Amino acid sequence: MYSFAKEQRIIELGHFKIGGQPGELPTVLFGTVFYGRKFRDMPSQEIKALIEQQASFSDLTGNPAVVDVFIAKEEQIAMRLDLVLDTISDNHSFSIDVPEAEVRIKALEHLHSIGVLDRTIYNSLNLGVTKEEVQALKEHTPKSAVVLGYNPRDLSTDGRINIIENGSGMVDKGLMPLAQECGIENMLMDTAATPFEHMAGETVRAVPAMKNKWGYPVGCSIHNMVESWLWLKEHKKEHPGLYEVCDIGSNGLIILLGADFSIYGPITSASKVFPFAAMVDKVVSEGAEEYFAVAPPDIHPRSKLP
Amino acid sequence: MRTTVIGSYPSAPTSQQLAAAYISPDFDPYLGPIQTAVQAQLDAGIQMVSDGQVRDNMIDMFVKGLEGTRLHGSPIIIGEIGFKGTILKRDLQFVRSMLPDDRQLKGIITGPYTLAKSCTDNHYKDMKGRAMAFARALNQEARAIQDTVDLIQVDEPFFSEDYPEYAIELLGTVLDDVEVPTALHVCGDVSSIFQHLAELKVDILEHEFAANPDLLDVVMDVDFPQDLGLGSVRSDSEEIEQVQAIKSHIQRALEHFPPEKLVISPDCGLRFLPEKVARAKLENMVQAVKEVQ
Repeated sequence: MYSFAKEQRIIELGHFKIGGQPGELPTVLFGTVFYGRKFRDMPSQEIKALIEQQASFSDLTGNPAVVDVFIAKEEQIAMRLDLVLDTISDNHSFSIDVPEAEVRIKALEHLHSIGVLDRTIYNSLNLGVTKEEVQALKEHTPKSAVVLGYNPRDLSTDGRINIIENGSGMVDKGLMPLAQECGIENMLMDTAATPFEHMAGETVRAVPAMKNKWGYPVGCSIHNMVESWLWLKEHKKEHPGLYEVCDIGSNGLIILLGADFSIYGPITSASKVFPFAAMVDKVVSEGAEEYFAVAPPDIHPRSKLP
Repeated sequence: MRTTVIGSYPSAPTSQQLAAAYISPDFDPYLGPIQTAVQAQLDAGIQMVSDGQVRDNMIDMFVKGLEGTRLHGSPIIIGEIGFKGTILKRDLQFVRSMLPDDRQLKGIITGPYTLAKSCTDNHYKDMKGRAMAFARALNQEARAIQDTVDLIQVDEPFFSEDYPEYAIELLGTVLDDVEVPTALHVCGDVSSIFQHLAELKVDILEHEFAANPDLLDVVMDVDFPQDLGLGSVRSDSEEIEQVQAIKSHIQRALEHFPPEKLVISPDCGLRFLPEKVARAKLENMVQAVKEVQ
């Protein structure tokens, strides 16, 4: 087991704490709603039930849960956020995942109008940021943001660090100073999961590298690597269950290397991801206590699931 | 007289397009900019075009595509250098599909010496060893693309700063068994090494005559078998050369060389110029050639 030389920050995000040395806190798990075909015609009650199910697994294992709200179009903003905010507790943070910059700006305006920017985790500040978006972030500043280390010109760990630190020639300034300039208080560093043969290994390697460099919480949506695996797609029907094993298991890769959070994919996987992540957290915690005297808190899976 | 470019053109995906590729890995944000670069060359009337070298810079492109080399913030050699599949062919095929029959395509390979000088070496520990290893790998790339292009150009900017005594062996290795015409581009002032460049087995020597007009006096005094790539507009200045000035530059070369020995091009790649400036320079250059002819 290991510990980082760099002092590790612990950040309080509403209903949970995130960060620290390995074993210090449980891994935070983000489950996404509204992304993909399965959500297209899903009744609201079913979505609410999934959010509640994630919350109950969070209670069971101790891994904090965040609802990640996918929003593709402006007209989806109010409806989707209303549904999620009606379902989660008033002190709970949530994240928004919005691919288009124009829609992100509209979402910020809406979040400001309903007074929940202090609970918002902006997922993500990335190289696609526009000047208009920066302006919107300055006017309607979310308290927290995921900062994405996606650097298509250099997918190495160094390249991923560079885009966050200095913009790597593609953004006027690094995404981290940009977030600070906008007044974003809490930054979660995302190593940016890339497909196999696109330096997927660096996604994982970047976890300890970023932890050791900045001391901020680090994680990623490692399941994207599994989702883009062509062989697995082709053999999904031939080997039922295989996709799920890889999808759920991928979360363990980053947790073992020190990740503080995992954006694990559709919230429908919560019943499997939470116990699995809890198991890996238990392993990390045992090692951390044995070598660095890091005792698990009461809310840790090692305390809750003996 | 033929017209061509040295390679790069100022066309790049927006950071929003690059970010979109993260969400949709099948989306290639570079195809649009390649199309823009090629169309600009075609519109300007360039006879032999390039793919615009928009996908990456000349070093990173090869460092990321070869065996034994990596880009970890900066280029690095971590093991035996080798060929693991063509780096350029897919884009060249895409460009070829855009070209009318009367236009030609060049494939551009960054030279082994330039790559060797640009990398941190954790494997070979000697300059010639890593340069020759690059040369062998690049030869496979050259052979892989030669059925797609009309000419293969090797870029060796470092030759003008530090000319290796084994340059003949190096270039011979890169172009071994290459049957299409070949060119060597060396930027900077090559006055002191032109005598050596004349010994290299390539069909065209391309240099920066617009930025170094005195170079023409030097090459006039050398008997060399290759055709001459006459850099005729500067790639390091945003000032757009007028047609008359370019004509005068070409006519000066024509006083000593027959037109069939000259290939008119910009001095170097145009990547760092504003797009409008690059386009205007190409248009004026082609117009000057027409008027001279």
